[in-house]
Amino acid sequence: MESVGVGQQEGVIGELSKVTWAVGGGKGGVGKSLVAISLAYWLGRLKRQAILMDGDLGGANLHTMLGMRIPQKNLDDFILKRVDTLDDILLPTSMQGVKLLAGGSEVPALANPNFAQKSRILRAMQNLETDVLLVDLGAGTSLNTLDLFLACPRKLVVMTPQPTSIQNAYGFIKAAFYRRISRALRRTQLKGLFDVSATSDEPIPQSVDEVLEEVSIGAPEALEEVRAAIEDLHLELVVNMARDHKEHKVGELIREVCMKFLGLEVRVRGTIPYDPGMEKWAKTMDAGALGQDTGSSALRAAYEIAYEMISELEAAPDSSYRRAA
Amino acid sequence: MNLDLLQLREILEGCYSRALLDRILPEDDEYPDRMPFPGECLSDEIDADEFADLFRELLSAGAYLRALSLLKIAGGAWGPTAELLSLLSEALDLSEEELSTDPLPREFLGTQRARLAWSVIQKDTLAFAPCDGTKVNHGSASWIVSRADDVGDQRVPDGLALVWLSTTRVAGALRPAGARKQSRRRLELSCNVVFVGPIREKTGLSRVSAELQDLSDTGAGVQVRDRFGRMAGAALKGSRVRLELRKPDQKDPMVTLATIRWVDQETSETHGQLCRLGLKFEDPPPEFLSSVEELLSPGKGDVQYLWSLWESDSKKA
Repeated sequence: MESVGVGQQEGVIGELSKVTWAVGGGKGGVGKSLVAISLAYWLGRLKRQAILMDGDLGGANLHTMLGMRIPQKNLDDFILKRVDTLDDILLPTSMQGVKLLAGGSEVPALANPNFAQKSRILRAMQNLETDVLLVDLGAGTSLNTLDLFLACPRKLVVMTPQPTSIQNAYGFIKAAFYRRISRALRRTQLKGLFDVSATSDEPIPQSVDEVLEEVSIGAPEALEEVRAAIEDLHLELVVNMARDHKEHKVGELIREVCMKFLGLEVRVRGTIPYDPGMEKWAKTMDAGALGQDTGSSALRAAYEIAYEMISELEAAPDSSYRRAA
Repeated sequence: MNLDLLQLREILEGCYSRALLDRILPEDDEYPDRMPFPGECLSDEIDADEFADLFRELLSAGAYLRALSLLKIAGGAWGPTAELLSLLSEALDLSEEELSTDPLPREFLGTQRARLAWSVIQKDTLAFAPCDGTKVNHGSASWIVSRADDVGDQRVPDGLALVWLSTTRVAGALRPAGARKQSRRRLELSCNVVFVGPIREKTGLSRVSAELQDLSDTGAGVQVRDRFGRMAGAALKGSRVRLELRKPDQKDPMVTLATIRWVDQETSETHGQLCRLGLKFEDPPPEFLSSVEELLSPGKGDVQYLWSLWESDSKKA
């Protein structure tokens, strides 16, 4: 994988290779892991090497969904330096071409890793040999989750058409947006611009226009960096479990609000229809059984997304992505 | 240097000559580029009523900064200043307690940070730059006029500008928002307008579906699609209506009486006859006002907008 300098700057988590996709979203239960698994499944079927990484540092369970009740090796082994590289803890799965990087549970502090630990994990992720690395993030908007999400150059936000999920998806995007800008402002006098202080009733900027206005006044030297940070976010939405035409369109609502209030161009990457077969599959905890239902509408939709992902990676002029033989 | 009214007007309109500028701002060894605006610079000949007329003219044009600049130039000690300042405060909707010699920060600054603020007089604009207050030696209360392109480390716009240091701390102040007396937030929510009183009998108008377009705590703008042209030509202005609007997360509608203050009608190719109504609330009930406050609270505009889109989509479905 190409090197782009992970953790090279003090206080900053750098970016990972361009073939790394974060699969995140604010709310639990929207199907992030299932979406990640479905995409990995198709990447494997399309003759690509994929690594599924459990990025839920405090509540790893991706291995369970893939039929491993207690994974033989996991991130703990890397954190506790029992192994040198993440390659050493990759586990084979029953899905063709897909390996699992299981999360740990032995080190409680891993739920909230410090900067050095985060940097080490990210550096090691950078060195993984794979065509696509899919990072399945935990729910919520903790800073660690947001940082891992932001470190991945490609970012999928998974949501369902439920009102609470819509609100959470937008909240997650907004939190990521502010986190990214905060980092761009970390060395300016506007550091802490979005912090809510008990002693201050200074209004926090609420839109990209207000942010840029504030930066142009308070830290003009960082204006270009902030603009670039906003432009480089590359957020994409996947609407999961959509049942009808209206539900297929909810991604557009988020897209419109993000554009209007955050100035963010969010792309609706795809919609995965509600498919009871996927729920049944999740209960079997058998990765090998995925794809046995050849009529699964959810898997068909995931195929389209995976195919598009590969096509874009291959088409990117600066990509180190290798074409399958 | 006794400025007369014509010269004052020239300054405020940006048509002043360089000679006039030099006359107002004589070179000073200590501050070669910027000078405290000299106090008592007005000519004794100036008629107080004419001065007040000029001030009111600016006020009615919504040129609040220029109006304030006029008072600043005249100086606080000049006769009618206090009275005119109260007019400005009224126009900006400041309470008696907030009445001060500098009513602008609440309306325009919206900040607690110490900043240099400058007003390009003739353009009626205001800009800010952060400042720790130590680089400008003229104190926080005084205004200065700048001809330079920087004040301390901060650039100021070209032209004649009034520059001052503001450390005013006003909670909940508004962002620069133009000259509107009440700040209105753009919102798109569905609502109902129910006509009450004589207009209902005259026109047969009763309840119409409408879209809320903007909202403040004193009024709202709504748009009605007048499919049958019943509102065209009707003397709607001054009529009373009941406005019913429902927050997306609320089951019961928020209701208040309102008066139609203005009507704007147009024909749209796609939507037919559109009628926009400006409503002024009449004794809105406290629960209505608290809901409005919630809708207007900063940080919720995006979420409200998200819900309004959701609601609109639900209706279409």
